[in-house]
Amino acid sequence: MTVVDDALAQQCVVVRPNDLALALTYLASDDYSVVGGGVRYLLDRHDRVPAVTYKLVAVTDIPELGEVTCSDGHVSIGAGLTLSRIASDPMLTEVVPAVAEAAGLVATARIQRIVTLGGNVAACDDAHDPPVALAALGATMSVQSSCESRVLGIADAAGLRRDEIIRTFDIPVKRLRSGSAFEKFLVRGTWEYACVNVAAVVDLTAAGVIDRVRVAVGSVDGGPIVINGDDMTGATVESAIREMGLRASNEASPRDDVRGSARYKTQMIDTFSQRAVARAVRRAVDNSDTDRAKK
Amino acid sequence: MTTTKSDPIHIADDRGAFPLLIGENVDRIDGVEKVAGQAEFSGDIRRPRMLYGAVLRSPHPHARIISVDTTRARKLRGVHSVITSEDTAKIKWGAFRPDLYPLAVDRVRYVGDEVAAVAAIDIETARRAVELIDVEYLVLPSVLSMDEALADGAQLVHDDAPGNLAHEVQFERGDVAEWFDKSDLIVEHTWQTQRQWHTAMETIGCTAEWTENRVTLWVNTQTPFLARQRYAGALGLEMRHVRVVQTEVGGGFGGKSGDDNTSVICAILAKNAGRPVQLLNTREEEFLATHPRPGMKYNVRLGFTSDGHVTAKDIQVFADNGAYTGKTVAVMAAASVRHDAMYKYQAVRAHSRLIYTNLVPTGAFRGFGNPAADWAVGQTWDLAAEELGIEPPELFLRNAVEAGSVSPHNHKINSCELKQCITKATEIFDWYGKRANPKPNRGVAMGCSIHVSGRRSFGDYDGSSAMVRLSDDGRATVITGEAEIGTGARTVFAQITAAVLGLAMTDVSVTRPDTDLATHVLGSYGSRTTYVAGNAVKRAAEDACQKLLDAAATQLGRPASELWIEDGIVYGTSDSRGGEPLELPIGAVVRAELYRHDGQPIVGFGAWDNPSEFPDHSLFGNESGSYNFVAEAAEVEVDPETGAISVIEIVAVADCGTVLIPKLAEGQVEGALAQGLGFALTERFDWADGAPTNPNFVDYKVPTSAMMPKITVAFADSYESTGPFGAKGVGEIALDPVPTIISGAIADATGVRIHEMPISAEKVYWGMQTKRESGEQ
Repeated sequence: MTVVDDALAQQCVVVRPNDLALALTYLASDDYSVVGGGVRYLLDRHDRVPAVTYKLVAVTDIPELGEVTCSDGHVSIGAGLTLSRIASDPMLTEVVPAVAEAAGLVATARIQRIVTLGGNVAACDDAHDPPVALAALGATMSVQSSCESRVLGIADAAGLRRDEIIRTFDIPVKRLRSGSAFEKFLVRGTWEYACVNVAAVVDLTAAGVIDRVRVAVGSVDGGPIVINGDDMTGATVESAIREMGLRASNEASPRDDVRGSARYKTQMIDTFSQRAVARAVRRAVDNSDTDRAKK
Repeated sequence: MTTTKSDPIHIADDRGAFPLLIGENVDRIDGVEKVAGQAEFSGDIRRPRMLYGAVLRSPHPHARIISVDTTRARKLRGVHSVITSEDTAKIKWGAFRPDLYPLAVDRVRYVGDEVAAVAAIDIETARRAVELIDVEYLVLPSVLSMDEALADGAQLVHDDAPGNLAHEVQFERGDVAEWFDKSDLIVEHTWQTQRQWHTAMETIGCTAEWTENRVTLWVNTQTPFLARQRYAGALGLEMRHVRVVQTEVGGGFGGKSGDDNTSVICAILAKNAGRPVQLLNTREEEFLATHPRPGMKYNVRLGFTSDGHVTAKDIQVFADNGAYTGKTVAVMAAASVRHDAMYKYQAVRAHSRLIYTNLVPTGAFRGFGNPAADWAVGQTWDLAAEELGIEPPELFLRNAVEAGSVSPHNHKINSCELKQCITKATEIFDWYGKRANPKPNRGVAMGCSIHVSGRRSFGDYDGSSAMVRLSDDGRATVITGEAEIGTGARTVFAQITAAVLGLAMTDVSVTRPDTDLATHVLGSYGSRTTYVAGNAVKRAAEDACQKLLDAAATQLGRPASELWIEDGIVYGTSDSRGGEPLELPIGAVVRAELYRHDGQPIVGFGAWDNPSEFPDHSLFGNESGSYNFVAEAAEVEVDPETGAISVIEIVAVADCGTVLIPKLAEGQVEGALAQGLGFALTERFDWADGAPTNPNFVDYKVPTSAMMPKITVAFADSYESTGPFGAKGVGEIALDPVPTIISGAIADATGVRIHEMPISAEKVYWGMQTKRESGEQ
């Protein structure tokens, strides 16, 4: 147990269990909450958010939350992994590049070394990058409390209960002729929330036309929102790129803020969705070699 | 007087020899302590029984204070003092137009205006107590822009400022109408700049402690003596009752030049609590309640002959003062006249108005009024070059001032290598090569600027003074009130002293400013420290050197003219009378001078006043004894699909006279370029109800290293005869042209010229869209 901020009127207690069951036991009591890297927690403390709790269960020492596995068209990423680990993981970079790219584009390297994937998603901030990539890839999250397990979509993160821990993010993957990409448009170029962040996943047929295409858009009302191109099976790559950009910009509702007007962001969602789809297509083409895709 | 026998490191035709160390990359004397975390910044000060302060600020841009109830705050355990305006002297203060109370009296005039303050045992308790102060406001109509403030029947920010006019300047020098009539080309445009915050790493802070009726303030101020004078006035005290000690300053940029209430409130809290109090701005307070660069609206009309000679300039300037008057009076003055000393205008006219608004008060920022002026006027020059079909470097060269030029406002240009800067920047940047081989979506631009080296602003004095004390251990101590704000000023003083005295840098110390102990000076602003204070230090060192040699002459029985100092040793050659060569450590000379009947310490005194004039009400007068110049060129690339701007390269060539310490001078130029890029491209807030919606670094985007282009810094071969070893100022100049060269390069790349800063990708995008839709290429 660690006591931090002891100069403050109310002490903050952090427990660091190395066992999931023990962590869930702590959370079963009323006054503990999960903390990942602690970035959101510190920001809330700084902003004097009244609901901030002072008893925390840190999950970064729990081994089973720190694993990455890939088997049978399925990638599982432990929710306790930091974004820097995800960004630099060779397998994830190869198999789900959109997720690795999104993790590597969050804020700064220093923050990426602190923030966990679970904490990033659980914060339910529609400007965050990894949820956009996960949503595009159709990921789900396995969630557990002391009394039950359940599976939630990325969009359901707001429904997480205080006593629950995200164990893993589970992503269906199709290696052959499949690709994904993440695009983030920044006003300054580094260390900021995105003006626009989008991810795309593309599966191609053996003939080189669209089998499946999907785009997710963050930093918008209700985001990340997912735009499915299920009706575009058989479409040419060029038309899919144009159409998905158009659909994304039509369906997303960005907000006016310091990063740009809603009108401008709408245009940029079109542009960056097209760029994301185009890069995903290039990766899908690169993965058309059966042997290479099996590696 | 001789100080060294060694070969000089640099000899110029008419400059004489420079002693050792001048022009060398000497190490900063404060480098190790800063890197090791040993330097004491304002938040590092600890006094016995010290309390911590917090301030309650107005949430309204304009409101009448109906009541302030501090009962709940006073009852909170750990609270020692709660103050309101009733605890103050209710004296308005300010550098140029006193209109600011230490704590608001009856009315608040901007979101962030100080209403009450608390001192408590720790900062958390102080902040919680602030939240327990109940203030009843009657919200009043407010003016949240200059346009609103200037509208007919607009709400007045101050009842004694009709039309919300805080200050006004008008002049016409030469017959402007006649010269426009003679012009073949007239270019006229309107330009708008935004506020820019200093964003120093260290926020403003103070620790106050009273001893009977005297208060000592440990402040991270740029101007200890000016701060003492203003704070004493605000506290209703005579100056003798206030002592200011400068802590380390973690970045100033004009923001710590003594216009804010933090130190005043801290002093009142400490008095009221009967204990020392420390009050540090939070980052949010730094954005809400300090004095950023003012936004300016600038209408420019320029005339040219067809062969590219400038004729007349006519400007109308509106500057946003915010709710209270800091230094924007002088900022606007610089924006109105300074540029006119750079090109050979035949006639100039200006009408400049400083406008009160219910927004954060504005003030001094690196570059003063020049970045706004250079942005507005520089863009108009760029457009003129286009219209005239003359390349900008050539147009600048045809009109640039030279040594001996006198501006319409009586700026007397002493040393001037502006043309050399332009030529050198053109060559290094490969201007004509780039113009001959344009790349898709890329553009280039060039701009110039002129800056003062110190300015007569606060009465008819822009001087400095210093003492150099030699001690019997062979060391020298420079005692001066001049302020180090991170630029390396103390290192420059040590270098000058070491060079004059023939000492090693490690044998020279420089004290920190303390208004009780140090010599009277004005402080660090206006690019004055090296030029003005450097001269005072040099004179003090020379005086100490002469006194040392005189003492040695007496002790050794040789004429002082036959002695010199090198590496801390006084040497004398064998003389014609058969005397042996001599050498005596200077510590021994000092000791012998002390340890005798009527022994004397060896202390040199030096004072120097900028050879300038105090400008009159219409800004006529040679405001500085020397002027520094810069020419800069930029290349940018614009993404045609998004408007996103990448700055590829910047070349900056500065004329700052002799470059005393190249790496420090380069650092000043590079830092100024970075701040200029932030001003030009990214730094702005979203505003709602009179305040930034998110006053922190999440929204306010200062440039990062990732945004920096390839930068080449070079210096003109230059010598200022009135400067210390020929040096002039260099702290601000490089920021000034950055917005105009970025904007010009974007226009060159896209055909879109942005008239309102910052130049965002969005603005460029919509500009390109408009061009596409209108069928323009």
